[in-house]
Amino acid sequence: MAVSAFDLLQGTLDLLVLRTLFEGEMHGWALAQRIFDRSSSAFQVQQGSLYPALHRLEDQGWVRGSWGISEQGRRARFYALTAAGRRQLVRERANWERYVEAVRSVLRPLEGAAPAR
Amino acid sequence: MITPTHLLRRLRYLLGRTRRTGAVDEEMRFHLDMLTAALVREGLSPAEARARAEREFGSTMRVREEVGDAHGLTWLDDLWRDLRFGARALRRSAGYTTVALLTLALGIGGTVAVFTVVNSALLTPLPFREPDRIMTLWTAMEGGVDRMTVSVPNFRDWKAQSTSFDAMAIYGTGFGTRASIVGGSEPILAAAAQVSDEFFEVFGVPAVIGRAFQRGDGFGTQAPGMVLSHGFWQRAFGGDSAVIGTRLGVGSGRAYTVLGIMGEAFDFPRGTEVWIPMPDIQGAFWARNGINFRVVGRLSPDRAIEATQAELTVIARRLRETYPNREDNHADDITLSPLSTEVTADVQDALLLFQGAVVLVLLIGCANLAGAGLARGVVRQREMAVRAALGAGRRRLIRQLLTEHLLLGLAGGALGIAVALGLVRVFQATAPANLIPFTSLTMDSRAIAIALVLSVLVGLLVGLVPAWLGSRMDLRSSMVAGVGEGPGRAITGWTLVAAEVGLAVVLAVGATLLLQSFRNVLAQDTGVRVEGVLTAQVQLPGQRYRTTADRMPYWNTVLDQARATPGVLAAAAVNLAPLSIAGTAFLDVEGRTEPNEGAGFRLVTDDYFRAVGVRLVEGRSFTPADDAEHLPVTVINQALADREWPGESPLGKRVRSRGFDSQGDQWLTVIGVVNNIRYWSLEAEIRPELFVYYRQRPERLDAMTLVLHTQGSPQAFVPSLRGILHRADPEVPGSFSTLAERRGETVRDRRFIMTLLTGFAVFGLMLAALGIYGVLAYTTASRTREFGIRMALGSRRREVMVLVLRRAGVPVALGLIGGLAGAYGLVGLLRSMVYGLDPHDLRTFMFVVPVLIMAAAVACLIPARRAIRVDPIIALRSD
Repeated sequence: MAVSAFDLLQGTLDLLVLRTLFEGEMHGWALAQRIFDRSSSAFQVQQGSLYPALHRLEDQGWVRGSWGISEQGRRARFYALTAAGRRQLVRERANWERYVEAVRSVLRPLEGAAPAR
Repeated sequence: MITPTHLLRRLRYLLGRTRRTGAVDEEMRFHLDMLTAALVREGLSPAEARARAEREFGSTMRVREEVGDAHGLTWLDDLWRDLRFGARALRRSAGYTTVALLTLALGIGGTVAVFTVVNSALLTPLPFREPDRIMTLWTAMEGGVDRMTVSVPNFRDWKAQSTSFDAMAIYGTGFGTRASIVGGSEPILAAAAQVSDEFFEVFGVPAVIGRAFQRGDGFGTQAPGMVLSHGFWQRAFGGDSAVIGTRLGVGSGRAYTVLGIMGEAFDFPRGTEVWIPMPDIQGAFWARNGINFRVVGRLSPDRAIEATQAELTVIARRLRETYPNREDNHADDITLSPLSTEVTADVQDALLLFQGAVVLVLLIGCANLAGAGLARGVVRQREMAVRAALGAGRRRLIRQLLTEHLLLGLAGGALGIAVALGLVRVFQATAPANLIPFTSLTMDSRAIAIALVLSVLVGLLVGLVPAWLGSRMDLRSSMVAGVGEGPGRAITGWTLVAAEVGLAVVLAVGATLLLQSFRNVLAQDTGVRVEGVLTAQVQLPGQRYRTTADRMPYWNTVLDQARATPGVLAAAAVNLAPLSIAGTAFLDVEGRTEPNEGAGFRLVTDDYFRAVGVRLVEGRSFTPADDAEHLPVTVINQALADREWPGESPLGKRVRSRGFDSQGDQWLTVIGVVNNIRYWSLEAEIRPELFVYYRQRPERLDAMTLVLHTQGSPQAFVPSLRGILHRADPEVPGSFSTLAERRGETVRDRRFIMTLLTGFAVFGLMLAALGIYGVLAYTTASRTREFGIRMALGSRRREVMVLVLRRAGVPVALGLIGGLAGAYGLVGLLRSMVYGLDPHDLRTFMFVVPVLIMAAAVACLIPARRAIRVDPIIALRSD
């Protein structure tokens, strides 16, 4: 398994988890797999960060956890996005866009620009 | 953690925590299994997959913690953990914990107990309706005398002319003489107060059974009623409510109907057992210049004190114009003062002194515990080091240690409350009546709050020192055994010792001042013979002893029989006995027009001076020849002679006394001078007095005190005297005492205050000595190795002992100096309680120094001897 090349910031992890859960209810393992797949194998979230994040989100009320049966027939904890979580997702997404845009606008002059006097 | 729902969620999580920890584990296990399965799918063997999965998985514990943090309230978690840990640590060092709990229980308990009394006396309102509206009124005279008692006619005029009061009343206590109440088989003596009709209305307190006086009940009513106190009702009638409506004979022979019983809490004036209406009679005692009574009033709700005072001043001036003669009307002005101030004035100083002293003792105790905590901290240093190595930050360690001491403080405080309850009860049983407040002594919420605050503060105070030092350390050196000493600890320990010594010195100086004052007071010359004098207060009921012809024979019979009793060396009677109440009458000196301060008026029979051991200084005493047919004469005391005729003989001069004397217009010729006698108490100023012979004033003989000079113990003669009184008139009881007892009573308050403060000082000194011992023992123990080396290198035992003592000597000396300086600054506060010496008198301070040095020396003895007993070989080997 490829080791994660990037260090995910805690805030970003929250955003990814919320976005992924938007697609539906899933348990922690499935969530980690889905993020791995959708990030083109860039982000491999370790359980050391995943579960604290999930529980933090649950504590904030953005995510709700409940026990259910996995595809293998095992008992597992499933997490679903709440209405408040959906709203938080929108907010965080907007923040992220703004953040990216800001970084991009600072970086832009460097690409292909003439060196400063 | 901002929103309430959020908080609720977290609390709910906490409650189901154990269940959820299992749940998190299960969640982790699921993830682990899935990871293992994924690895197997990639080609690893199940065993290898499992191993790798577990390695990659890392520490579950960490995850569990973080999950817990995400959901829980960390600080609450930590607090709970700290408390449990603290409790365990305290249980482990049982010795320290026991001593600490004891010290704290006594210290906090004592402080709370004293505070309960202070609270009752000074902070709680009096048990009357709207007590801040109740005022006292006094006669004020030019020349700075602003708190004299009041006369009935003046009271009537003030009441009629003032519009500021809802109710105003005048009352008198008969100067402490007791009235005989006749209702049952035997007459009983009771403390009686004569009050006007609005008296109970002023206080706004109703009777619990029946009723109290109302308007129209006072001043010479046709069918007079009386009101009983709760205590008297129990004492005399066993609490039988059938007594209401019955008629009881009181003193003067009139019968009063019992109207009602007051509640237990109502005790005004202090110690009153029956309230009877103010009689409406004429006579010198009741004239406008007979200022023998006290006045209370209830301010109307819309009136302010200042405005009322102004109104009263105007009234007084108006009366002065109407009655310009100063001998007839003594009031130049009226002083208005809230009742609460009057009641607390005497008691305030003593109570605040107690409060200060007990707090000092508590502080000494805390310093002791902090010092003990230092030594204990050394023992736990390795434990602290391990904790630090495991990741506990310094703040965490401090918090842990503080929590532990907070727990100790709270436990000590809880015990302290129990101790305080007991102490309050002891105080109620042993304290003199004057020091016990009007409001009953209960531990209310304020006292509990103080206990709580003290517990927390003390816990933090005691814990701060070990917490600070315990968390600061070099990890590596602490884990190596044998290192137990840092210079920081020793200095802190000695600083505590210096502080303790200083506080103990302050207490000792205060106690010494009071002890010396007490001795000074007792040494005061009473002017009379104190041992071997029996007194009996007798009041003749007015109905059967209406005239002189009725009264004179009674006294003559009783006195003759008393003189005939074997063992009685002299017998006489006087209106007011020495060392008791004293009144002041107004005095006119022939040939003088300026007003003077008056003099005490005493009515005496033959042999009075001989009976009480008063010396004749000049002239002669009374003889039976000085009767109504002959020259009216008086004997005066030295103080009066010195005041009115300094430097010359007063014999032949003439005086007269209005207000007290029934024949106040008659000039009395001075025939003799006697030495001074003390009244009120040993501390009061000597008052000028004049003595008048009973044969010349037979109309005054209704209430007298018999004085018998006996051979041997006066108590032994009580039965004989009682028999004589009974034979003379079975319905007239006597109230017996001795002059020695009276002298003891006058110093009762002072003795109590002195004893209590001395107790505090001794206790504080013991604690300080204990503290010195503790720190010295600890520091010498940690220097065992050093002593061993020194002795191995040739030091003699004496040199080692000097080393030890010198180390202790410095902080003790510093504490002594600091304490003396502090005491010097504070003794001014004791000025009102000190007698016969200046509080700043250096001799007091000098006395304390050797006492303290001795205490310190005793404390140092054991550790010093232990230090020199050290075997160098063993010391060097121990590590």
